[in-house]
Amino acid sequence: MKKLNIFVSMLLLLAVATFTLSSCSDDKLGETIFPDIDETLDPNSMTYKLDKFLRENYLNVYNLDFRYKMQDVGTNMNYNLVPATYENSIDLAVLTKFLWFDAYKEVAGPDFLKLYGPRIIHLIGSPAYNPTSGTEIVGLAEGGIKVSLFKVNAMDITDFEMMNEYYFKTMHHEFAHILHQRKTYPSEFNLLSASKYDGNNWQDRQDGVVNSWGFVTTYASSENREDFAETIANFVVKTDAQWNRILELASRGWATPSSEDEFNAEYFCYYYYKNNEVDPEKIEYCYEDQVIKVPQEDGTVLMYFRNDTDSSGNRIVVYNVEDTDGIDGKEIILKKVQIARQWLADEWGVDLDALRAEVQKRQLNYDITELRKQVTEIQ
Amino acid sequence: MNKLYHISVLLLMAVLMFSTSCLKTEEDDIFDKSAASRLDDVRDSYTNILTEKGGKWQMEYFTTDEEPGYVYLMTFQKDGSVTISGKNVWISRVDDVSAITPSFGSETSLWEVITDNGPVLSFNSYNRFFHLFADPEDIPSTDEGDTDEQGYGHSGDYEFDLMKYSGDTLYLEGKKHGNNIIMTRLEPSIEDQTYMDDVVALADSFFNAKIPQTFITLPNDRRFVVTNGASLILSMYPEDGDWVSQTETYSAIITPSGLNFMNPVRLYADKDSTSYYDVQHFVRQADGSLLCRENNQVKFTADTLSKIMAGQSFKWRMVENGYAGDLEDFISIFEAGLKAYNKATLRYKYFDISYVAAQETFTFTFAVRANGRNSTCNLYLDVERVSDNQVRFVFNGEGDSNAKVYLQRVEALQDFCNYLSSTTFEIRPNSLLSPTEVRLVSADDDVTALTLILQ
Repeated sequence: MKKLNIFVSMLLLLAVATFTLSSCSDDKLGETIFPDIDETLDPNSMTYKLDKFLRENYLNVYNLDFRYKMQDVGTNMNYNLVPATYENSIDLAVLTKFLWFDAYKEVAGPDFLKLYGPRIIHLIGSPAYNPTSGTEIVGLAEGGIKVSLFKVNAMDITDFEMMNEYYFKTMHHEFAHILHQRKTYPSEFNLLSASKYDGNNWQDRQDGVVNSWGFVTTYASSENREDFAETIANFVVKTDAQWNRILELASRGWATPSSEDEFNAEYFCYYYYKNNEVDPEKIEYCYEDQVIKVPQEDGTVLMYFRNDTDSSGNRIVVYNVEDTDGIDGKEIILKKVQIARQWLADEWGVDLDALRAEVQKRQLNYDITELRKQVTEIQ
Repeated sequence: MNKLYHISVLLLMAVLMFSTSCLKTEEDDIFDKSAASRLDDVRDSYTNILTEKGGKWQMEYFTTDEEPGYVYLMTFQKDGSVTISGKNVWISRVDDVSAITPSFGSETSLWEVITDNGPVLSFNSYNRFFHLFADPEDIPSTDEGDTDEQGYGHSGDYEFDLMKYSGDTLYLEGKKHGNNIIMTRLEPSIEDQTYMDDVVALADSFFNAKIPQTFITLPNDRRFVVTNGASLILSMYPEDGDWVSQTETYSAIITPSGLNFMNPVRLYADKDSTSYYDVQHFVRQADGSLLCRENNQVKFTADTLSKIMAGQSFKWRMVENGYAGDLEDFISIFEAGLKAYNKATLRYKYFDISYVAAQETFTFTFAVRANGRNSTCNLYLDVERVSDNQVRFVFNGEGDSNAKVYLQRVEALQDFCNYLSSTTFEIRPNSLLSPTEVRLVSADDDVTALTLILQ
């Protein structure tokens, strides 16, 4: 019986083998089910010049699809969005190359972005509004391969601050995400401000206050990954004056006269005593533009309230709010930068300071008319 | 050993089941091309449809049912560009947020038929005068700036599923918001601004705020009161129903062919809602009325003409010198009588007919100048409805003190009043939907007539 079972089992296994080998044995690959796509650009197309520029500078070099014709299916359908204008698409195409791709090429070598750059850049004309939080999305990095740049129709090429905030910074911010999605950054970074992240209410926070907590922007205080991307992006694109201002505000103490919770309160870093009567009950807070600063020979600076005098006609003395939060914001920001600097050097071979210098040089000296010629003068 | 036996049986069964998918008993392909190729063919077909014969189209564009529809002209070029023209107040507000009158705007942008789950007409670069309806910025804009935006805007579409092409008409559906959109082919020689100016002028002539109520009448004569026509967000309720609880609003658009509702409107033929008519497209007739395309016995008009003439809220003014036939003679004789009495003259060669609530009567008003003084005279009369489209002006010999003087002293005025009182006038309006100008023609001779304009 045992032998019979073995025999039957062997027969069955033989049958399995026969079926397995014979199944589909004469399958052959037929013609492709996909239609032949003509990759030739049509010189009669209205968009021929831009398409040719994008092919020669993005697709052929970086295998990157620069999508300026918005595809609704490539967006979050919960948002109402509109396409970018053709004219702004040209500007952003040449600026993205000049300020992002060429800058990295200069600092990290020609292959860096070929290997690690996004494969799709998608331009979207409007912001994506989040009505519940009162915020707007200006950039997205998805899956390490796609970067969406929003609000393209609001571009004002003459407004450097605006261009920096919404586009240049966004490019480096989103690319930082792409990089850390491939190789994670040291977890030590996440511990530096662990108790201060708030993903729901970051938009209600105040710039100077979050600086003093060790964040470069309010958005950086939303979560550690955004903090990391914001730290790199702001360090790279902010001018020396803008960066030093962040560090200066980070060194300040901040206080509020409000009894409301911190998200709705307005914070100040200057105060004075009403009528110069030094009494905690007489403290009033003021804005920076209400303060007159008078440098002294010994290097100190005296500060006075611009808008009033005391009953004797004397200037009202202004004081810095004492930093009592126990956090050295400036030191934390610099530590974060150092972690990013080391991580970029170790993991990617990129010199953050050199990158910053290259981006600064480019963003302060570009001539958009000249850059546009790369497209408009294509034959 | 049993285990080996069982495993072998299970393996054999599994292989038999899976191997069936590879058996050569498949039927031949139903289609001669792959799905992707067929979709590309459809895309090419729609691309040709849009660009052939000059590529000019009229789009009936809707956003939500809280906004009227807007007419746009589109000229599709094979180079991927499309010129989009329109005339509406939102175009005006692109450059002036406080604008309240429509402006013409035309801009060229990009278009493409893309293959999504089916062919989709995509306007894929921003056009200032078209994509404004898809912009997420709040309407009106928020005072608080970006932090207060809700992200809805007009909630209009700029990508449209191409549903059907029939008789030079394309039927589309907004991809995100699902509104039905119709595109109709136009002659390429049409000049965009002239066309849009005509469309807006036509829309202005459809409804007039001075005629606050219009009516959709079903074949069984059940009527629905329509108000707010000029806004094209039409309010509607059954005349025999309750306007408070039964009023519904419907978005509509006016095109050169007539008026179309955004979606079919269901009108019940009786109070019990046992039968109904679904109406959506109304075609403009030569008499100015609208006739339903889905059922040509459903009409859209103003109220019965004699009711409007006898309506207490209307004031009519005779067009200066706008009289003919016997009336010409009577007025000449009246003028001569005025002159003979006290060298008075008619200040204006027209008269007003209106209802004066204080006197609870209609008045026939004329103005004279005598002895260096101007005076207004009001004769009292009834506007009598003879039939749906016929009226008589019946003077009762009463009037204010000025009128009474002339009535007693100028015999020709009495004769004039007697003539009017005895004459039945047929009402011939400029439009059955918006009768703001009527020609009253004597039913006796078809010559005697006067023209009145609604004030």
